[in-house]
Amino acid sequence: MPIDFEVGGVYLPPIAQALLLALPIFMALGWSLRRLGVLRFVWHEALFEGALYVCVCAVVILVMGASSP
Amino acid sequence: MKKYIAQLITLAVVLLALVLGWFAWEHYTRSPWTRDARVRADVVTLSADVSGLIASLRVQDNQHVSKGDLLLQIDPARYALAVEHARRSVEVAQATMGQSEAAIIASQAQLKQRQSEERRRRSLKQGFAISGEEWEKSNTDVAIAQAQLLSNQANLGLAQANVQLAKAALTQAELDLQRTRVVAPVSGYVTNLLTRQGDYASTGGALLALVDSDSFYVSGYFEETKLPRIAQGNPVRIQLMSGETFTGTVQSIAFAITDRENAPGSRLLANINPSYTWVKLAQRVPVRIQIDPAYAAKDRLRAGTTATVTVLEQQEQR
Repeated sequence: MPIDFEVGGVYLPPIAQALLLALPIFMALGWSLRRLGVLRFVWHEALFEGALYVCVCAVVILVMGASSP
Repeated sequence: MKKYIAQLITLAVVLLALVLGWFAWEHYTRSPWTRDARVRADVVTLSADVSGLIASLRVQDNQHVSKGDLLLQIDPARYALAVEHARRSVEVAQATMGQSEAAIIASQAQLKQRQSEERRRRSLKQGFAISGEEWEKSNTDVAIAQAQLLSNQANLGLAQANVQLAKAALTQAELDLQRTRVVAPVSGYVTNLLTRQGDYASTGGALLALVDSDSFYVSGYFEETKLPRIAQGNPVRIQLMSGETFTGTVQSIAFAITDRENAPGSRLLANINPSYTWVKLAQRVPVRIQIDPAYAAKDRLRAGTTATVTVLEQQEQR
């Protein structure tokens, strides 16, 4: 696991870093899916997007864990 | 048809999210790392073995001292006088012993004289030349002289024991004098020096803290759920809060921590905290980590600073 990320004296744990890091990736992904029109083939858009964010977060956490040592 | 495909896509993504989320959570909570680790060192609390005024203080705050260096000197005058006193006591005891020896020689001579007197009177008595009373008297005189000799011999034994006692007291006085010099028991750094020259040092009272410079280690406080994946000898990566990274190995894992739920109550009864069973917090167990001896900036470590510790072995195996 990578170490703390400091913002003005607050030391964020790695999981908060992962959640923050996943946010732009998820937004980019959502934007491109919308442009490609994939979202039109999706049932329950909010549920899909939530699940997508969880997927991105999990991948980021696993990648961070695997790459740090 | 199109609607079913849409539902299928969404449900598939949700399922993927659950699976990935589970793996990520497992990885995050079970992998053996902790942000709660401290650099630690052995600290010797130095105190004086004898009491007295501190005559000179030879160290400054944060100074490095080697083992055996003089740290402070307690005023030796009183202890030097005690040594002189003890020396004179030895001489007195030796003189008393000489007197006892002389007394023994005197009483030996007296006994010899009385015995020859007795022999002479024995022959006189056989010729009825002296009274029975006089014969008896000379007999008694011999017995008295013998008793005196025995008494003086006992006195010599006493005087010899007194000499040994005085010598022991002298040795102790010399030791006390020697202990007015307080020397460093280990090589290390003087820290937070509050003692000043002229302070009164009492026996056993803490005077200064000495951080053993060869004893630095890292103590990682790992949740109990992570302990099964930590073993003695595992390589470890340590990152200080200030950014320096170095390696180490797991030296040992603590075998006991305090049970916080069971403080002794009044009348020796157990005092168990009523806890909320929905929320359980993992206890943290200290794991002792030896710092890699090759780490160059060892002398820049500060005991008490925060570190993040990651145990590496298990991650390589997966």
